Amino acid sequence: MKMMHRFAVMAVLLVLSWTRAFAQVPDSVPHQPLLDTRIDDGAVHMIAPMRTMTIVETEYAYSIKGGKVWAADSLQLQQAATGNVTQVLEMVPSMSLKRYAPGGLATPAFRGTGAGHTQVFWEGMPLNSAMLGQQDLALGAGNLFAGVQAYYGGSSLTLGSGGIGGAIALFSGGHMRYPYRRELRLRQQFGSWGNLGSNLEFDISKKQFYSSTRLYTQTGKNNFTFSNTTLPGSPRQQLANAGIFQFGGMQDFNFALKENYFFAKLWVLQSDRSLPPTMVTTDAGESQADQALRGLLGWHRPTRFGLVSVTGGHFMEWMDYRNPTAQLIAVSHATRTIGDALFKFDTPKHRLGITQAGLRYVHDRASTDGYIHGAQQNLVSAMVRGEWKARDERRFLSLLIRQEVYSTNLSPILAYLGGRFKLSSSWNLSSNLARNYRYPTLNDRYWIPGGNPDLKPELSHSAEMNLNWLPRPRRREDNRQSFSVGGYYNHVDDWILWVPGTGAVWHPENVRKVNALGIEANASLVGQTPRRRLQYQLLASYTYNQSRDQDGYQLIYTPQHLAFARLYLKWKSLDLQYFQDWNSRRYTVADNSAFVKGFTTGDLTLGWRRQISTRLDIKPIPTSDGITAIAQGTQFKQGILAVQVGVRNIWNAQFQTVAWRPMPGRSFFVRLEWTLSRGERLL
Amino acid sequence: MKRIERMRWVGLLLVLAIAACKPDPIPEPIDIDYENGILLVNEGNFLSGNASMSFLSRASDTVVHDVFQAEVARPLGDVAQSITIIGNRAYVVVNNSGKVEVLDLPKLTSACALTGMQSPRYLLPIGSSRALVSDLYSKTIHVVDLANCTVTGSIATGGWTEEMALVGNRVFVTQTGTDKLLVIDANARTLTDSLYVGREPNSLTVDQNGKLWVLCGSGLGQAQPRLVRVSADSLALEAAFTFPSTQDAPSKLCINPAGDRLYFINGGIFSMGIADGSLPAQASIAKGAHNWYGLDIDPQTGAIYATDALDFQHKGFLYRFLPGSTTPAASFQVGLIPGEMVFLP
Repeated sequence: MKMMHRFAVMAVLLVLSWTRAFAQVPDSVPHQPLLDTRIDDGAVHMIAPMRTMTIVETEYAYSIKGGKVWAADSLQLQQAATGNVTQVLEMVPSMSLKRYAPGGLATPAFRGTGAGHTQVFWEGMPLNSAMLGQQDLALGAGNLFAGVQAYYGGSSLTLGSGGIGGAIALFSGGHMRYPYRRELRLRQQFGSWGNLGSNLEFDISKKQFYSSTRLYTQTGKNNFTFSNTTLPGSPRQQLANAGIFQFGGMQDFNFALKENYFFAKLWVLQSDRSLPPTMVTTDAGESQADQALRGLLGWHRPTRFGLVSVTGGHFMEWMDYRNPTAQLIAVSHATRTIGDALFKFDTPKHRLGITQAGLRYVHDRASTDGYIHGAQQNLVSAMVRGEWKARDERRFLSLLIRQEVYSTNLSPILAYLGGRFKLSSSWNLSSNLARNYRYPTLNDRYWIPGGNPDLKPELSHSAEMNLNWLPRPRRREDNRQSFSVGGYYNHVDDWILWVPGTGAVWHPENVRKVNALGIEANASLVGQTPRRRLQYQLLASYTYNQSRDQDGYQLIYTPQHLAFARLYLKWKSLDLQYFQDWNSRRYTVADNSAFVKGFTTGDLTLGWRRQISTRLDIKPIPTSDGITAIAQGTQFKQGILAVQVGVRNIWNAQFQTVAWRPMPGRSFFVRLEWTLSRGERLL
Repeated sequence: MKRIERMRWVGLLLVLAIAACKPDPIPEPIDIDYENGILLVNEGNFLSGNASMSFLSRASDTVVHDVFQAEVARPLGDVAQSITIIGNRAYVVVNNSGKVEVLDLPKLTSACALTGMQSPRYLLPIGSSRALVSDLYSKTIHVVDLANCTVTGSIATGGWTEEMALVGNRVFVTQTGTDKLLVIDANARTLTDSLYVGREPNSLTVDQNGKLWVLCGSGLGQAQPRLVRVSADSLALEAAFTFPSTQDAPSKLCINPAGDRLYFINGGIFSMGIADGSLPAQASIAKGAHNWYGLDIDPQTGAIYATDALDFQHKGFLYRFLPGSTTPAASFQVGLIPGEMVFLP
């Protein structure tokens, strides 16, 4: 009855939102790009517009007033092109990555929560495994994504539920800025310990058609040496059984027919990884193979009232784990079917209005030896979002309400209330309150033995406030600076833990309460010397996080201090990038009696880039965001050759992010990139 | 205004510097003799490499923590399964590290390490210079030369072997995962026989009459567990006591110094005379909020020592119960997942 009542309220809100939509008749209907991509016009190395920590109300696909959003810049995406997306996420403030080995399982965690509290979305569709509740980001090849964004805390509710810590949004992107264009890009990386990464990328756009093809392979022995401090004399040892072989690709078709915009995306991956032993265990010869086939079909149409988006998707995933020593083979198979409808209303001229409404259906099905007859679940999620802005356009409020039904259980009402307040032309204050939840995974509920079908969802109440300093440069040549400092608090109730029961059978229970609070500070400086001889960018980020359970212990693998700084310099065709991060100790036991030491690593990259052939009357035109673009209305043909050499972990730090799993010391790489493009530019 | 801007950067750098400068604690050295007390192994979490050892001194009635790390200056390894004293040496079987650490007493200094085993579980001395080591995965029992600290051979068993007992010239081995008790000739070091005892035998002990008692846990509710008595001479199954429910999960069978009273864990801690005609209906020591995990009897005092592993995530406790008492005489916080122990004279 309660469920019916709540859904009735949501239904009324949805109907009201549609009614509202049809009551609005905007003056014009802009054909807005679905995603702002930044690396497609050969201007990747222009540093002026590099976006880093930005506080909402940008063009980020799912931003919301008062929320905190981070987006990778072109440099970060380029650095990860021959690796995986975790290399991008290393630079996400307040996020810690737990990595078991190079190329091995890598899971992210925001603001002192767990890996299952970070939801990962691809083109807005949920990716986290229904069985495990998390996503292995080492399987996301870096060149597949034109956009990587992070949504902190409550702002993740714009994408979906479950992101108690936050959410990561991946976009394969694509746009139709050119009436005709072909571009071929080859990328090859050679690295230490037999690491090879190859990319083949081909884009073609012709009037109303755009196709993007991204293929990759990655191999590596990863047999680096390390000091095994667990053995007498700490001898140097070679990491055993750590090889990887991955290949896959993404195909993206976009087609516009009048004002209808269709897309089809296909993501295929195959990964074979050997799983190395820890420093204190013997090599069991473990291996894991992952396969995934994910497809999306979508339709967008701008209407008189706003943008209608309908997306359908089907994901299939297989995992095969083998331990020959234990004679263990564990195979699982999972499928997900998604239907999603979203209406984005044009920005209301009214001070108060509903801006978005959406409905999503997700059906998960999984089979493994751990389930008797397989397991399945359904999720229905309805969302309504509204905004208010003051007449002086200095104060903004956003309200989002989401209601879900998973299987036959009604979720609590999930809500986000955020605001942004301009204090002056340079200073603003943003804040939000949110209520989010994460429902139990299929393993939590159905695993035999131990699965607990009576588990309650984890419930989170969070608050955050950020003070942002974003002065507008008077002139285009002026330096740009930004600084933000803020705090957050997140209380998670009914945190699910697997605990021992009778007869050594473990089972999950809602046993933990967690209070996470923290302080975040971020700063950036972007500028150039007179006559633009030297361009520079400096980023710095620091996070203090205290994430305690009910007994007052810091949660395991949640460092209290995280910081990084990045310096980027560009002079003519040369550029230099230096990245340094600091991580404090991570406790490895719940009572904080053991930990892995804090560590700091530095990466240095030198690049050279040359446009080796150019034809016709190309004239640089600075675009609104500063990227140098090709002159409009001209035909062009160009080739770009780029070379990068780099040193990772330049100070050869010996460190671990998971206890007794050594990470590599100093390593080297050379990356070659060749781009050939031809076409004509619109306008 | 510029000064304020500079201060902002300076402030950020200061915060970073402070965060980076907190030193790691330096372990304090220990200078004691490990005697007249209990050496306890704390298993630690699987794959976390946080196994440890604790020492409870009878003289001071205090616990010294993490003694292996303190004395040997390196971590013990992954899953410390068991500990055995042979002469003036302690043999610590570190299961998932595939090794046996050999430590000289009373200073607990590292003598050597037995390596080359897949997943060792328990060590049993046979004679003055040899021992057998059971194994989870290798389907063999390893033969160890104690004098030279080497693995010299193996005995094929076909499966997972756990606890062992030497009676006369016969070694009895519980083969967990099957329903058999294996018999090995200690001199020839060959498998000579096997007998049915019950599903998943996990522990065994020998009473004052030289009879073998074998506890079969049955594993995860698949069958009703059994406690059986076996003649070490004739290998005949002399008695069998079946637990009432498949949800029972008895383990850690041990016996008092007199050899006439058995103890085991089945949620709570149960005791049973060797002449009793049925299993005890009530626990001698209630489960309560405890997660009883390890159990042994002090051969000097007859006191019952039981470990509480709590939730396997926090440091556990070692409890001492006087014989016949249901309330603890003392408790001591020890390490993570405390399990097996040995009593030092």
